[in-house]
Amino acid sequence: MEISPDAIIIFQWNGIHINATIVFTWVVMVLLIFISWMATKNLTIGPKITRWQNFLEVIVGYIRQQVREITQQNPDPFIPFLGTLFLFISVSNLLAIVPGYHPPTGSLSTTSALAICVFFAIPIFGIAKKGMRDYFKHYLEPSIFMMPFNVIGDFSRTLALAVRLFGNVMSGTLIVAVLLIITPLFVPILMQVLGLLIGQIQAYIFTVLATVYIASATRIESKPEQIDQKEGSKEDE
Amino acid sequence: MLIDSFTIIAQIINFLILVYLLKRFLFNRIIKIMDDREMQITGRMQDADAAKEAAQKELEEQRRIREELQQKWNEMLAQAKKDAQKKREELVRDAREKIDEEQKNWREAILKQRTAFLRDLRHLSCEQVCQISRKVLSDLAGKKLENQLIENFLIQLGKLTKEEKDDFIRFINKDERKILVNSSFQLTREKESEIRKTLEEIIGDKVEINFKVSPKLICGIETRTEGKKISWNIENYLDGLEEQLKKAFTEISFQELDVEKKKTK
Repeated sequence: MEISPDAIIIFQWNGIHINATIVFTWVVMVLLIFISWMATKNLTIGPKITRWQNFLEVIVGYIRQQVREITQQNPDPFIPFLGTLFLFISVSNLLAIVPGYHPPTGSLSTTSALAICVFFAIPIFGIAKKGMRDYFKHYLEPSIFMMPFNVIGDFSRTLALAVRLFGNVMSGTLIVAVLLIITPLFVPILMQVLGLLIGQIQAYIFTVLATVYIASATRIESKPEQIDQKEGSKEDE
Repeated sequence: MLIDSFTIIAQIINFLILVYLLKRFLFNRIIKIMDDREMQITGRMQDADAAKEAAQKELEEQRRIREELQQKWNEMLAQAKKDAQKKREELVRDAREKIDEEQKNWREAILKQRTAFLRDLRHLSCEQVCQISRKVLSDLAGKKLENQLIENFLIQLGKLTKEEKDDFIRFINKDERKILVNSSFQLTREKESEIRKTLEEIIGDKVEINFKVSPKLICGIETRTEGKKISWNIENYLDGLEEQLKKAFTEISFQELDVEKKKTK
């Protein structure tokens, strides 16, 4: 039994090995893009809209509202990044009920990749908003001696993002696999339902934390202490 | 074992592609459509507000016009009432004037009728009085009344002052020298000569005197030149009677009129 879908090699050629993680990522990508394309093909602003448009509008509207509440800024510049993050993790976890499917988020490589993306997105958004000098100044606050801790904090929270998501999804999948061996009837279903719930919660947490980090980087008067507290409370989950 | 660098890089690339594609196919479109709808709704609400405001304004305008009309109507009504009152007063005044006019005409007509009646009455009374008097007198004294008449006449002539005599003479025609003596009865020769003698004494000269019986004189005798007349006539008495009668009639008529006026009021 494999802990990570990385170990399932589907195709290998000249040192390039396409594993299950990448393949299922593609599946999720294709699914998302196809639904988006189909739904946004005939958009209307009239009073009568299609169900798919309505569904996507609800999701996107909810994401916008959440991001607006957390960042206290215009959410539109962050929406493509944060929205994609949420939709990708959410759909990846949701498809776990499909037999034979391995959620890409159950691979530490995927979660690391996402965490790295967040890690780089924070300074990109911060510099775009505040400028190079103002952005890097916050590492020297409250004093220059705190700079190593600030840098370590950046790295450690990225690591925490990756491991938290991986651990939760992987454990969920693993628990179902173990329970199938012990009590093959009914109990795995309950655990699977629980796994779905956890998957959605993790998607939410990952996105919200990414939003908080970006918000702290882009806020004009950044208050690192408060944000650290907020981060801590989220991590408790 | 848990982490694979190739997979990490591949997943980063996958994720970035997904971000780009979803941005293009999902977020941009959906956000744009949502913003458009919001703007449309805001626009519609603004339009609705503007329409409401316009309607309110229109309502105010209508109310103002209605009040103006009401006021105008009231004014017109008051004016009409005033005009009607004025017209009524005019009509009443006209009617009163007409009534007064008719009353006046009527009174004039009455007066005329009365005058005519009085004239007739006078004539009749005179005749009757004369006839009765004559009858009575002739029955009582025969020729004595006529003689008395002539005597009275002669006394009257004798009583004439100098101025009256001169006045009488002045009117005698110088060429013809004629005097006419009219009497209501036939004079005897003696009386004629007596009268002639008296007249000639007054005039102091001979004149031609014609005697004539005139029924117009009810009861009396007169002498006249072309411009002067001396007479003794029962008409003189009758004139007095006539005056008395006239007065009496007038008083009676006015009393009747006053009573009628009071009744009409």
